Amino acid sequence: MDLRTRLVVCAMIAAVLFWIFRSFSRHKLSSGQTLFWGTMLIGGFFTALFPTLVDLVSSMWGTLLPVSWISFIAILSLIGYLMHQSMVINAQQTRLTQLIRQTSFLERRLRSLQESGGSD
Amino acid sequence: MRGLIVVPAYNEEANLPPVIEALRSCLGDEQLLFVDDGSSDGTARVLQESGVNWLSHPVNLGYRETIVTGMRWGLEHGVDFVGFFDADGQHHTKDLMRLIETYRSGDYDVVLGSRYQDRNTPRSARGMGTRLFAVIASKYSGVKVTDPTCGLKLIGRRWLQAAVDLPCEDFHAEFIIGLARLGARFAELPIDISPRTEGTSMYHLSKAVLYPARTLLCVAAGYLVRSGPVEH
Repeated sequence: MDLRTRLVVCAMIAAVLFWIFRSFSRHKLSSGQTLFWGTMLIGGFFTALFPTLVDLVSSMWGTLLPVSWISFIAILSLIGYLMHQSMVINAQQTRLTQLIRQTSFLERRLRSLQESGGSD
Repeated sequence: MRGLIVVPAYNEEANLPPVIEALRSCLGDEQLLFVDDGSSDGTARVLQESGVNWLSHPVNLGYRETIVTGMRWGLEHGVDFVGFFDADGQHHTKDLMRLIETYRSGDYDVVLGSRYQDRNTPRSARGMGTRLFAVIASKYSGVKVTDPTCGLKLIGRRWLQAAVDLPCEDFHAEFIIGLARLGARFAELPIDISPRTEGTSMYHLSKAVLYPARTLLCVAAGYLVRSGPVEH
């Protein structure tokens, strides 16, 4: 990978990082999500900027092992994160449903209070 | 014995007036609860104008959550049983009263209506599905069930919380298996049914395709529920 390609990849990652942090500052992403994606992207940023890091590990462990591990850990992390997000979304949906149900109960109570108030 | 009949309604503006009239002719307003599931038509207006006891979800939550709303209301108000009666005008109050009488005998915890106990299921995809789930529900619950998808049913107070906690899609086969494994006693009575005259069924194509898979998932989860009496 020549210097120009590395810089282009780094610039793209930096742009996504900026978008992630901006989303966090605008309350569109939670701190946990920002931390997760920030760590992943910063890791990708340094790997793209210094590909010799991968070469260094390759020289110690063999050529294919680091690439395989990076792919394996990346896929595992993403699957884990998606499963975690499924749980989070489901928990939010459950809370929302409970809130809607409570709203309907309270609205019914309010209506009966208004009706009894009107008849007094 | 104080009961509550819950009528889940979603876009049933046209069907509701005769249903309200029929239910009011045999039960007091305090025994009825209409639950409007965030309808986009005039369902809420019809309920408001009729003066019945009603609740309204601000948004559409689906059939399962509407049933749960009815059960939770029943639990909060200390009723002895909660019954369910469809708002589409297909159920008859004479059958509902028979279900209530059967429950009051004290021999059963859950009383189910059955459209197919004394007649064959229709030769349609839905009919085949009902038959398949009747076989599954009967096999895994140990209760002879002929129509697990019937909306007319009654649940005793002791089993309401357990029913709410069960992994259920629409309170059909999975509900029967789950409660039977916990020790509930079931009765199934034949009922008559009238064809829907207005509106559309909630089982549109995408839901009909996913329904068997989701119900089987719930059956599997319900089958794994630890058996034993529920403490209240």
